[in-house]
Amino acid sequence: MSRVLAYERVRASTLKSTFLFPLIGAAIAWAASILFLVLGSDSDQVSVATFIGQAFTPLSAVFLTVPFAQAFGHEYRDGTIRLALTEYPRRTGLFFAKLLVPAIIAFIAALITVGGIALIAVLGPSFGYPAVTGIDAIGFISLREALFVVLWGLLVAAITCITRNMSAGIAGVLIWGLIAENLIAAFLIDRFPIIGDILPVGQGFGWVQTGDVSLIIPMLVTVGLFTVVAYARFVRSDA
Amino acid sequence: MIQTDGLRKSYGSTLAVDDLSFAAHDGHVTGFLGPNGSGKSTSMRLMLGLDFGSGTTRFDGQALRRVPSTASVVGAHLDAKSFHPKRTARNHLRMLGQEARVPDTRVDEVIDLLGLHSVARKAPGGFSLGMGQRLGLAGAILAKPKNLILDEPANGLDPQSIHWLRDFLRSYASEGNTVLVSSHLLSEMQLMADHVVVIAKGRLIADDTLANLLAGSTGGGVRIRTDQGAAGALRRVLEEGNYRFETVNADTFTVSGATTDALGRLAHGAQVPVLELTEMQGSLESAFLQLTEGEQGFKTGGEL
Repeated sequence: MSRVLAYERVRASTLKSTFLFPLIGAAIAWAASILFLVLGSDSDQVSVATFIGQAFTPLSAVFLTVPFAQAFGHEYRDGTIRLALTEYPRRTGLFFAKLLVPAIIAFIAALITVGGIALIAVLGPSFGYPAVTGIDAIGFISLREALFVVLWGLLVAAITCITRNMSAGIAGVLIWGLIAENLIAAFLIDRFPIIGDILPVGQGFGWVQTGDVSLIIPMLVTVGLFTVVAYARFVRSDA
Repeated sequence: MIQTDGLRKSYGSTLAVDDLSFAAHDGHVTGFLGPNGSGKSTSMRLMLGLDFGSGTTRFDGQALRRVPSTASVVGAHLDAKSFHPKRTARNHLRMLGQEARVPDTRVDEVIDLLGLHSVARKAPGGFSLGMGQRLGLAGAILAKPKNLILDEPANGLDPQSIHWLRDFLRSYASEGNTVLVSSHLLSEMQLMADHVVVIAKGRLIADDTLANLLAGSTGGGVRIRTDQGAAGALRRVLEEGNYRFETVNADTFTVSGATTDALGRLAHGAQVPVLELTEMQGSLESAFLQLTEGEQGFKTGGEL
């Protein structure tokens, strides 16, 4: 397993875009947090959870999880998957290495992103902006945010692996999370209230905000199902 | 040694590879030939476990999935453009070297060997086909594998590079390694391979030494040329001697089943002046065309 992890580590670390996209995601979140701070008023006392929730938008998550899409998408697009599968013919180790290495990158990048948002919140009052409350809870919120980004990324990886198309993986999760779930909620939730409890991305955002573990279950189930399908496709299909 | 047994692969109702069994032996360069669409590339992918079908392939007696370190057992080069366009050539090789824990010094050694030194730290997106082939070959030999599988490695190479490739592969095989190489350049293969496997429509057509294939092909014989005034006399002598011959032009004939010694004596005895007497070699191309006649996967249309 260490050799296939080394392969993935070198594969990911030898492309600038592996780090550039997460940096863009972080920069967007930091810019948003400065904007919220500047536009807020003294009466707008917000908790750190709300502040992070406002600043850490799905757009940041999209950029932070690009390395997941690259892990599968680049290899199929460039034909290097054949070289990789020749070297690792058992395939299972390669599949999980392609999930683990981007997960580590995205997790660290998400923690840095949230850390930056928190720093902006803490420094705000020094520049005359309103203080953000509950800053002592930042640790748990950061952890949940980073884990949610990893789950989002695993979904991106699974869809990329299934479709063998990087854009489909990135756009698929984004469209589902931001458009499809909102449409479903808008048109169906009155008739079928239970739907509101099983929408994975929307409920997942709720878990990040509140820490209610039951809210992350739909996301975990969705990621699990897609990962099983992606694994089956990866190990059973022609390269 | 690479041993395939009963390889079979179909796409829907189309049988791409049909019960293909052959061996590529240690110390030999084995040419893998076939018309376009004959199933060469599919066979190679099946051998490497990249595509799923039936049949088995063993490398030195072992299935690839059971080998502890795959990269030191088999190196493959299937496509000249298998690299990320933005990852430098050196990093591409470093990435491939992880399976066999290839040190960076070996990466640099292979870069020098393949003449990639000047572009090693450049992104290969702008590489020519020939440079891409070199990078692919570098990846294949990186871990000094016992077996090499190369799909059309000479495509896009300039004459000097083809000459280098031929020498390199023969030298690689001479160290006891197995080299299986497909190519459309039959004249080149004739100089490179000592064993030839020919397939058509996914089926094995021939599996023999190059020498045997050439010996069995037409296109050999003896070419005899006289001056135009003596052509009629030479024709009569050949007819009286019951030789099979073809008229090449007014003063030249190609005689089958004869030796240069016999024809020289015959002409001398008949006082026919001989201006040229040449033993003609059968070519791999003529052998290939005979073997695959009517077996093309894709036929060309009429004349232009």
